[in-house]
Amino acid sequence: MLKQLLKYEFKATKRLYFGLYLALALLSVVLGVTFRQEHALAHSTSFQNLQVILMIVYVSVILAIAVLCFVNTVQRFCRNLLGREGYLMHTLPVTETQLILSKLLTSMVWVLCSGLVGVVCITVMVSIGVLDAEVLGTLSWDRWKQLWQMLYEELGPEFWVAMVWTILINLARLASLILCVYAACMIAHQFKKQTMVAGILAFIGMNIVENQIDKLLGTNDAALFVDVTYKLVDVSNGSEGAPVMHYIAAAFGQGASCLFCFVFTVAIAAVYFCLTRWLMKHKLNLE
Amino acid sequence: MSKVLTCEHLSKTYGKEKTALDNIDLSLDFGRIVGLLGPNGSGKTTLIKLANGLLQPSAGVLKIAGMTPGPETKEIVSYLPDADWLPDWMRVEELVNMFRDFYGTPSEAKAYIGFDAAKANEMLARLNIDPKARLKTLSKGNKEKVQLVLAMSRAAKLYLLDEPIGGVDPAARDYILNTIISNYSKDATVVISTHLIEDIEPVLDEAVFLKDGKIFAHRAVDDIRETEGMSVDAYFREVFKC
Amino acid sequence: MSEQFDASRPIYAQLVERLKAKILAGTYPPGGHLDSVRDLAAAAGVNPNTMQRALAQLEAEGLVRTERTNGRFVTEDTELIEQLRAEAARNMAAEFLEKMRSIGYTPQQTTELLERWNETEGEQHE
Repeated sequence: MLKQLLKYEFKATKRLYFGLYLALALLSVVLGVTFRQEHALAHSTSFQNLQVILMIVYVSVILAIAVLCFVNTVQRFCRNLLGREGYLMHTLPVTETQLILSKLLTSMVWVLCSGLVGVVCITVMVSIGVLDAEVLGTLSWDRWKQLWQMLYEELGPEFWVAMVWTILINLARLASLILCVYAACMIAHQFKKQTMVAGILAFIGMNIVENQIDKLLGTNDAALFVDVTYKLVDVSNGSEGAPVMHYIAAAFGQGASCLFCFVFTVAIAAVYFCLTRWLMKHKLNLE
Repeated sequence: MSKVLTCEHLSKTYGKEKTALDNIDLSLDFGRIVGLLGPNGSGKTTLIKLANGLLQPSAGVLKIAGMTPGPETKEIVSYLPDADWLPDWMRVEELVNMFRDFYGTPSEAKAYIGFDAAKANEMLARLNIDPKARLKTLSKGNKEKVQLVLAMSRAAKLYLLDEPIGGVDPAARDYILNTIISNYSKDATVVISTHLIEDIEPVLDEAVFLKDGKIFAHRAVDDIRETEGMSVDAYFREVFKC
Repeated sequence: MSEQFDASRPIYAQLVERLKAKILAGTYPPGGHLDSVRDLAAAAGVNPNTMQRALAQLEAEGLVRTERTNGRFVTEDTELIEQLRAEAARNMAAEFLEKMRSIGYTPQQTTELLERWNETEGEQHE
């Protein structure tokens, strides 16, 4: 059943995302072309104005995708499960777990896809703008291999292990963030009036609690590179006190602390999941 | 297990002030066509939503074939809500496929579970509905017909139809009632909630009268006609006289 | 499609009357096969259980018999049908005479009216 739910969830969401992805891809190509300075037009002011406008549109589309990721996450849950369409979703022979998982997985895939599409599009734009036949000619597969080898040798295996942990931990954080939004939606659903306010307050409240626990344990310190939830990235030095994480890192090494951080994040996500599921199972009231 | 639906001391309140259902006891047998009758706001929709697990009881118990509403009961309950409830960007044929995907095709062994896509397509053709049309482009009446076709093409033990004939024309109404009759099975019960009693009266076995969240009467239709000497419709008008 | 019913009487009783009339009139001939309960119910626009009850009543009266695998048949007992038809005719005649009496017609006047019926009203109808 989860497979069916995912199928229809993607079907319901794909048009919006694909539309924006397509727009971004086209703009990337167009902008890339304008970056090439070989045109006679390149130095006229009207052309430069056009370029500025295109840049603004480009940034807007990227922003739109980011906003869509968030709004869609909230809406697919609130509208589809707690609104009119909930009459259908909650009379299908599926469990609450399957419903929540289908929403979570779809949202995560779209967030990741959007990130990937963004990176690819910007790369394409830059490549078109900068690379020409001459530059391309100098690039060869051997060179790429050399580059990778160099990176690997310079940074060492620890780098890659840390990279894998970063990815895992951030995936868990993304899931936890989305589940927190779902839990907030379910809490808001319990209120007849000022639903929106209740939802936002619930979300903020749960985040404060989560952050306090984070601080107590020092789990923030394990995130090495980019962190989707914009928590403090601080590898070198713990803050005041002696959080649990430092003991773990000192006693069992960096790997153990990463594992602990991952498990902790997954546990937080599980708490949000269970809260959402319990509320959906026992406190659902579609009026 | 001998009853398809049972309610014991079932109550539902919205907030503190509004009581929609007040301590209801009700049990329905298999193989019946039951009219759930009452004026607006008497608790009909609330009762049906409770049976679908869309609302949770404030007090008391509701069971479907002996089970609390959950995925197992959802397989054997076919629900037609009183409002638009389908994703309206989908095409009619996509909806048919979606129902088949989720409920499965009824099998020999489990004839009471599933969705009969062939039957749905036949009914849609009969009602002149274009399977390629998107739901949102259909008229209100046609939209209701699509929803009803989907609900009636389910194989189930309990059909809960909330105001199924409210918005459709008389010809379609006849067709719908005919479908309910020819769909009849000893193993399934159909509950029709409505305030348009006259149209459905000959189709009913029994009538449940709801008044201000309480069950005012639960009697066989012919019993009402015999003892009261009037149609259920006339009886209804008398009971709920303003 | 669906039939109209008298509001003040049970539907099953009215179904019994209508089915019986069809058997007596030969619309459902003796020994003829009857449609399934569901089809009969759908044709009349009534609840299948109500139709079932009406058929059970006819069965109790001996007008219909059920074969386990083949469904329901009208009785082949033409004598019974004739007898019931005569009875029904007598009842209707009695009812009619009663009504005529209520507007002051004696049975004799009524008979005269009926005798002239074929000549006058019958012609008008043709």
